[in-house]
Amino acid sequence: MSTTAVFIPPQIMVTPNIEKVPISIITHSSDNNFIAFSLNNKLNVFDNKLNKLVELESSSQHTGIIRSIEFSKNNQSLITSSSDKFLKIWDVATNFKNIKSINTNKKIICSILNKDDSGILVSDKCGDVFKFSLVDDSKNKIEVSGDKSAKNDEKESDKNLVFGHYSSIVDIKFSACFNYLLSADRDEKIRVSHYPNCFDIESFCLGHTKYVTEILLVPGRDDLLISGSGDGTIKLWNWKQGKCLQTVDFNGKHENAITIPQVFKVDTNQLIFSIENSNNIYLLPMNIEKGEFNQSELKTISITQSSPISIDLIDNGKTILASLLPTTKEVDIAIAFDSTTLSQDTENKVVIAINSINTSTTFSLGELKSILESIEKKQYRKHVSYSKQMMNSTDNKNKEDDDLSLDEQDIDDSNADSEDKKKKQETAQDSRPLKLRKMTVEGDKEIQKELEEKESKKQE
Amino acid sequence: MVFIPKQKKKAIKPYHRIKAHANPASDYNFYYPTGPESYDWTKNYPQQPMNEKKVEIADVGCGYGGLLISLSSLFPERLSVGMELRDKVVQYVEERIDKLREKHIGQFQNISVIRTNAMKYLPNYFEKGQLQKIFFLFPDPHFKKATHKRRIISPTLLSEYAYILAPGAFAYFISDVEELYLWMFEHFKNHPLFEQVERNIAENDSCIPLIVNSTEEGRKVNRIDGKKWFAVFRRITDPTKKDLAFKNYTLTSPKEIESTTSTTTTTTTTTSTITEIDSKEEESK
Repeated sequence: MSTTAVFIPPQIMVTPNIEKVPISIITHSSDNNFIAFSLNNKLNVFDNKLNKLVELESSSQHTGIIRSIEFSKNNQSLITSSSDKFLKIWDVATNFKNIKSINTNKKIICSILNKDDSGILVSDKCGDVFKFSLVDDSKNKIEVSGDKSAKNDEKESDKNLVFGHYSSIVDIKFSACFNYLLSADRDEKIRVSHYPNCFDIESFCLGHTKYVTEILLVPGRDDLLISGSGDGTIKLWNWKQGKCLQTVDFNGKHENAITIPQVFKVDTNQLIFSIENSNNIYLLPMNIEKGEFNQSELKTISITQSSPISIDLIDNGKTILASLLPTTKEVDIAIAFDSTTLSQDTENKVVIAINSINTSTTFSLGELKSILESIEKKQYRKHVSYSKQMMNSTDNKNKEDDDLSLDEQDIDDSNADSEDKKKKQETAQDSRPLKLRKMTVEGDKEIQKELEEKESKKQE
Repeated sequence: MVFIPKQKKKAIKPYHRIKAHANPASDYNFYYPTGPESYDWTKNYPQQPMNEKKVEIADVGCGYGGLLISLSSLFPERLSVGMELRDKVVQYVEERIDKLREKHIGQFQNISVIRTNAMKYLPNYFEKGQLQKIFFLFPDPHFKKATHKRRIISPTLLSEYAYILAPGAFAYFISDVEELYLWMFEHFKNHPLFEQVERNIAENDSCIPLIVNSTEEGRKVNRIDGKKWFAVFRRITDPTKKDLAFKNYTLTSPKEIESTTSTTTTTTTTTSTITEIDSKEEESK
C-alpha cells in the first residue's frame, strides 16, 4: 500500500424535493429578442418584442432531458441537444419550427457550436467528442447498433471523432479566436487543445481537487479562464500556459460548497456565480487590467424562497434572471433582480410569463432522478461512485491484508525455532480457515502434514 | 519469549496474489498529485538530486518490473518510473526495488514505481514534453468490443501521450496478441503526431532486446514459444511533414534478437536470479 494514500471521504448528497418542473437552462439570443429555457424535456421560448411565450409544436419536442440550448451567432436558428440522442435545429424566422433533427446515437452531455455555426461538437457519456455537421447530412456517419455491417459503420463514425477525455467531459468552450478548445472533465482537469487539430494539446490547467462544474472565458481578456469546482473554489487561469493565477475559496460560505460560474457581466466586470444548494447569488468583481478578483467587494443577493439553478443576464445585462429549485408548490420557478441595485424585480414580464406556466406535476422516482441529474450533473461526480466503492473496498482491503500477514507468518515458520514454530502453527491454524490455507504452497504442505500425523495416530 | 520475525530476503511473487486485469475506468481510491509541481519525487528517488533531474522514461503498466530493473543499468544516468494500477503488484515491485537497493548499495537508485491510473493521471505527474521514452509492454488485450475503450492505446489517449513526450522521443509497444498489436499499430500510424522509426534505427535500438525479453510477460511467451510483435514510433511536431511515402513495417521477435540479448544487455545476474525463482514458482503452480 502506498504510504501517501489519502482517504477522500464521500460526500453525502442531500436530494431536494421537487414539486414542479424546474428550469435547468436559460439562454438569450445576442440581439435580446428571445429568451429560451428548458422545462425538463420541453423547449420554451419567450418573445421579448411581443411579450409572450412562443407556442412550439409539442410533437417535435425532445423526449429526453435537454442538455444544452444555444442560439446561432447570426440569431437565425436555435440548436438544442438532449439525452434522447437527438440534436434539433429550430428556425427563428418561422416561429421556432423544428426544421431538422439529427440522430447522434450517443447520449449527449454537452455541446458547442463552432465558429460559423456549420457544425456542432457533441460530447457523450464516455468523454468522446464528435463533430456533427448542421449543414451537410452526408458527413454525419452514425454507427447503427445491432446492424450486421456495424464494423464498417464504426470506422466511419470514428471519422467524426474530434478528441476525447478518458472520463466524462463536463463542459466545453471555444476560445475567443476559435483556435483553441477548452474542455473540463470530472477528473479535475481542464484541457486546452488546438482547433481543429485537437490531437495537439497545448496545456493542462491542473489544480482543482474535485470535478470541474463549469468553465467560463472572460470577455475582453482572451487569455483568462474562470472555473468552478466541487472543491468549493473558483480559480482564475491563464489557460494558454496552464497557470493558475488566483484561487478564491468559498468553503467558509457554505458547507461542501460546489461553485458554479454562471455568467460574466461585461459592463461592471463582475462574475455572477452560484453555490449549489445555497440560496444566494454572488457577484464577484474583477480587475480586468490586473487579471484578478477583488474578493473584498463580493456582493450577495439572497433569495428567501429557494436556491438558484441557472442564471442569465437579460435586457442587455440590466436584469439578472435566475431559475429556482421548486422545493414546494408555492415557490416560483423563476426570479428576476435588477443588476445594479440588486433589488428584486417583481414586475418583470419574463418572470410573470414563466411563472404562469402550469408545471406542477407529480413525478415518478425515475423522472425525479433524471431531472436532478441534469440539474446537478450528478452522474459525473466522482464521490458518488466513491461512496459506493468505499463500502466494498474497505471490506476487501481488510481481507487482503489478513491474507498477506498470514502468508508472512507462514514464511517465518519455516525459518523460526521449533518452539516458535509450534506456537505459530497453532495461531495460524486457529485464525485461518482450511480453504484459505489450501491456496498457498506452505498451507498445502501443512495440511498434508496434518493428515499424515492423523494417519500415524490411527495406526498406533 | 518474544517472537521476532525474520526479514524476507526477496519479494516473492505468489504472496502478492492479484488478478491479471484491472478496470481502468473505475475510480480507485489512491493519492495522485494535483499537478506535476506538487508531486514529491524525492520519496521515489531518495538518493537523486531531484531539483536537477527529471524522470525521462516511463513504463506504463510496468507489471512486475522486469523492464525497470533492466533499464536501471542500461540508462544509469536517467530516471525511469513504472506505473501500475494494481495495488498488490505495486507493492511487490516496491519491495523488489528496495531489496535490490539494499543488496547492491548505490545501484538501482534511478528506478521507482508509482501506483496510478496512467490513462487518467499522466499529466498530473509529467510536464509537457518531459519524457524521452515511453513503453507499453504486453498491455491488457480487452478482447470484447464493449471494453475496447479500456485499451491503453486509443486515438484520444495518444494525444495525451504525445503531450508528455518530448519532440523526437520514442514510444515502444509490444504484444503477443496479434489483434491487439494491429490495433495499436493502426492507431499509432494514424495519429498525426507519431511516425514509425526507420527500420535500421529501430533494430539497433538498445531497448528492443529488453522489451522483447526482459519482462515477465515476455518470458512467459518465450516459455510457450509464442510470437511477439512490436514497433517503435517517434513523436513529431509537425504532422504536415510526416513522411506519407514511408513504408510501415512489422517487427516480430526474430531469433537473432533473442540470441543477442545476453550480449547486448548489460543486465547481469541480479535480474536473472530473481526471475528464476519467479518462473520456478510459476511452474510449480
